[in-house]
Amino acid sequence: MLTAADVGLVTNVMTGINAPESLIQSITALLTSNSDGLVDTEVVPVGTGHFGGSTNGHRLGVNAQMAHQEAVDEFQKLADSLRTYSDAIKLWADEVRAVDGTTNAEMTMRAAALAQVTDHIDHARDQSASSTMGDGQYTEPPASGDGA
Amino acid sequence: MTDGPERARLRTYLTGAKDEASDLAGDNWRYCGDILKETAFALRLGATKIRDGEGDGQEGGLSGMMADTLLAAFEASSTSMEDKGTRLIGGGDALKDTARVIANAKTAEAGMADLQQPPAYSAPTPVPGVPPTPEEIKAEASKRQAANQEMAAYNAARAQQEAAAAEWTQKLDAVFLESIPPMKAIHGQPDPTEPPPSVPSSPSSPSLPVTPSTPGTPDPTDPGRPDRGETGVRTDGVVRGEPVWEEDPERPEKPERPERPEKPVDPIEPQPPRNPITTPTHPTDPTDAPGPTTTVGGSSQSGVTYNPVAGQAPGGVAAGGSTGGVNAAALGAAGAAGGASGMAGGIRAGSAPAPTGSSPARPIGSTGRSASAGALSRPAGATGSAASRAGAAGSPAARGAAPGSSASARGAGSASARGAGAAGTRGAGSAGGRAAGSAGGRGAAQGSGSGGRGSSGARGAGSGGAAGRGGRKGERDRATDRDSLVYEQDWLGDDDVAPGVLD
Repeated sequence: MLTAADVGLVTNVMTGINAPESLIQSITALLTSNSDGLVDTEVVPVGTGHFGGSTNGHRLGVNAQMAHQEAVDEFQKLADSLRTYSDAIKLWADEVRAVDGTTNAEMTMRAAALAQVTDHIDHARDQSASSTMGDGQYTEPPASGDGA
Repeated sequence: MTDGPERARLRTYLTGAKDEASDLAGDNWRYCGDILKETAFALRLGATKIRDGEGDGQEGGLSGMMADTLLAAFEASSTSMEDKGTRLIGGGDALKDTARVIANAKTAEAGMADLQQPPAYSAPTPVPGVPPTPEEIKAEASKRQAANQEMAAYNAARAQQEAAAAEWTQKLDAVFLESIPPMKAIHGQPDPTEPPPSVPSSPSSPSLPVTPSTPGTPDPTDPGRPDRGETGVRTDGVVRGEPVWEEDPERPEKPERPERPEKPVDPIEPQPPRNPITTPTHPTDPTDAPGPTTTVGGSSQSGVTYNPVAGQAPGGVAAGGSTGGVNAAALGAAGAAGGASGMAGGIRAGSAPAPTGSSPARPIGSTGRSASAGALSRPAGATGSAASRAGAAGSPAARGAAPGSSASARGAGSASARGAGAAGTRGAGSAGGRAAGSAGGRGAAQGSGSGGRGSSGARGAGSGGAAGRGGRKGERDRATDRDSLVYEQDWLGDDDVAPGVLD
């Protein structure tokens, strides 16, 4: 049973119920296309041997290899976050559509879904807005070569 | 053909370097960075749609708490993407810069000529009995000159090549090191290849400024690859032509061990001790270092340090004023010869402490013996050995033994000054020795006038300037003034005085 405050909150969240379908589709399409674009982007690897046989060249190679791995991870992470945004908006639109927000019973039914939407958005934000690129944990690639 | 070390090093640097691939990777990374920025822009565009709606806002956007949450999230994401795009572009620029320098270095190295060392000139073997004709001699001279010119040209070209190679390796190192921070900005982790901070090490184990890689982080792409470091190990792990063993260019040379100061050498053959008594051992300062080697001339009177041997041998300075009185006793005798007050001073100074220690007794004997030598013979006071130093210290007593004439007393005093001065400079150039010299000289001069001054001279000889203040106040001040003077004066005075003695 929702309290009056909860009802007010859900009502507030569900504001925009009258958002046009085309707008929702436009936003989700934008997010999805960009997500796909990020996934398809290939970051060219740089191996440890790209910079010759000196010590400092080797040092640069190791760091470049780490940077490459984190960049690849970051692109995947950002693509996932955009898709999560899109899914959240879809869910939000589906849950609030055809709900007038006047009955307490309906509000109670939608509350869990709205909480899920909020969680999705928060997760996507945290995923894409972290200061570090990638997962922040470098894992050495298999010993297959210099990555060239 | 033998390449110079710098060129070989440059080749090692360039071995396996993929400048074209690095350049392409740089372009790609820049492109990826741009994609991130474009995505950030698209996200902001989506936020605008959420807020304002489509079609110039005619259809209206979303509003309410959920819309606000979305807008804030989009803004945070787009800002972060922009930042990461910038970092990626920076990494791409670093890769391109590195590729450019590598390519230029490769071009430069390829343009370096393969220098062939010319054969050394060898003179023809002369046929015995057949002298070479002038034409032959001239021809050989021309050959030799040509060979020398060829060798000089080779050396110059090689030096130039080596300098160019060294310059390129420096450029490569610089661009490599400059490119690491952009990579760190991307991966955001500590550099596993960061050499540990150099710790001041002992000369026997110089620290290595650059290590090939952090221990425990082998090359991920080639685990079996040997160490790539430059510290005297093989630097090219992959198959890269001829194996190159590279010396560590940055390893500091083993610091030279500081030259051990030479043990003071007496310029004059030390004379055997006239008194076969073992030299008393005084506690020596463990930090006392041998002083500079000087001659008897005693010109080095600056920068001297305290030498307990020189200072103690005469009168046991270490024992303080009481033992100093032993010499005072000796000079007390001198004072007695010079005057009654000197006798009183001698008794006063020498009565109590004379029996203490082993050193007090000896200076008396040695001084008594060296008195004659100290008065007229410089070497006796300047030999520099322990015994001679004792003799020099005893020379003040010689003044006492002298008949009290001013000339002889001055002579003795100056001899003492010389002896003590020599001991001071030779032993450690100690202040004590210096003070002994001056005080001794002064005491001798004073001994001519009164016994009291003689005793002050004894104190000066025994315990330095402090004891030398036993004279009258005016003379004490004068003595202080003289102390501030360099001791060549003593020598000058010596030379002046000596004729007087003879006279």
